[in-house]
Amino acid sequence: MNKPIARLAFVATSLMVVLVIATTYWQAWAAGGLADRQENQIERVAQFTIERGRIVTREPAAVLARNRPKRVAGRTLFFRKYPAGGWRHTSSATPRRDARGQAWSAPATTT
Amino acid sequence: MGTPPLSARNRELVNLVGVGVLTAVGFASVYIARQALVSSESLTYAALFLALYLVAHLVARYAVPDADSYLLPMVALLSAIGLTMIYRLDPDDAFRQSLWIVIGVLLFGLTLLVLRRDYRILESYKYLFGVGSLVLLALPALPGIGQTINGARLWVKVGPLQFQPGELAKIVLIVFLAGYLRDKREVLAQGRLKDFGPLLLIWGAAMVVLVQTNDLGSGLLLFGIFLAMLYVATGRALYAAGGLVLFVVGAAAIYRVFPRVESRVSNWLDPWADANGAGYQSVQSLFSIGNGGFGGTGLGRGTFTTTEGNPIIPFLNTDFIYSAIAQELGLVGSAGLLLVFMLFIARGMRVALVASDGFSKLLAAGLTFGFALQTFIIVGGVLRVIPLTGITLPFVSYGGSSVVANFVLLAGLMLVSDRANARP
Repeated sequence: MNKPIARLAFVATSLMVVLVIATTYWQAWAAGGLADRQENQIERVAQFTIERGRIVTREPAAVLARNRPKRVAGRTLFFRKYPAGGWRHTSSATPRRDARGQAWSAPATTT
Repeated sequence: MGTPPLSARNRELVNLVGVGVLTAVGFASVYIARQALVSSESLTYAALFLALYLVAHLVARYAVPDADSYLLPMVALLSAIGLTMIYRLDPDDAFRQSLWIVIGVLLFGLTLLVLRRDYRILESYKYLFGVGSLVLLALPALPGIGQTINGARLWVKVGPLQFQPGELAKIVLIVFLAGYLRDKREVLAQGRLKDFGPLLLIWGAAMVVLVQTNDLGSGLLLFGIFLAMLYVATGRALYAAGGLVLFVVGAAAIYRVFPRVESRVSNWLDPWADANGAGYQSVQSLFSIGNGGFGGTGLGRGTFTTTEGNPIIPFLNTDFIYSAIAQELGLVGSAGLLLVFMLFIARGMRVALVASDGFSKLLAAGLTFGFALQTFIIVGGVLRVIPLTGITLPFVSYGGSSVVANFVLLAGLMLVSDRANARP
């Protein structure tokens, strides 16, 4: 029975090689393309870690946009606030939910 | 000249201590990333973990002194990686998982102690094992104790305990097939149809049960194990090829009948078509893997929650634990993990090669191939190599039944290995 076992061993270890190749594909070749996609929640979270500056006007003196820091799952995210109102492009405060109850936001125009 | 070579068990001990050090480093780095402090708590965790495996080691020293010395340390390493990741995702889950590892190690020790004289007595109970595997597979379909979770009827709930008998059925079925195929391999190799009767019967029944419980991942797994063992027993590649054709035909039929499977396949072919709906899980899991890149984000530094604090990927610590590992440890870590799986498979197949009798060979080859195929089905599903079906990654995923069953699998391999290596 040793010949079939040796062949089976070859098949079984080859399965793992296929997995290594597939992992390499996603993490080396496809990674850039994946990061660019709109649906990427990780990239979305990464954008919220950036503390952006305030937007102010001089006359009349007013703050049009500011940041409100908030701790989410162990890291600080900066949510944009628009005190003057009416400016909102992204809707992080009222996420839409899909069938799974997962929150997600509509593809956002940049703020 | 030089130092005398270490005995098998001493080598195992040295490797286990190495795994213990790695566990301590893993827990400590999660701790530092999460709480920004070094705590002795992480060291306590690692010490308890090592102590547990030292118990397993001592039992092995007594019951299977000549068994392969790499199998147990590799399992310790896999479960350490899994536990660290589960701990990083949810410390409460990690506590439950470690309880299951304790139960797994106890069952591992018990199996070794009970069967240490001669595990081959199992062969005389092969039909009992055959019926047993069917009963285990059918249990979740029974009203009253069966539980449907996430659309698959796989769980049995008795009081507060909840488990998946299918995981154990896999091992029981392998024992049956090893006994049955050893007995009938010569007649099966002749290829007369009537000799295949009992095999086809058991197989057909298993398929019906699996379709009823709505779980095709395990169906694929059991069918693959069956084909592999049939090939080893008869040496006829034609049977394996015929079986594969049979499977593709069956799968095509199932594809048309079950909407669950159809959606799985269309998601596999194009998850981007409905990236916020049906393809959501797959797509976000690929993002997670891609985000890891070459070196990963580092343990405890990956992103698994949305800006609203919800989990990005549902079932992250069971079906998708590989995508979590790939994000935080990167290509280096995930390829390393796969290499540990590969080494375990190579050692297991070596056990089958050096075993002296047919039952032992079939048992070791079946157990090892089952382990390999299960890994391939879930990781391949996550990586879009094959359609995704939810089964656990052995020793790594969160899930009690899987951990316990895989410890029994390990015990089986070590028993066969001990017998094969024992000095006369």
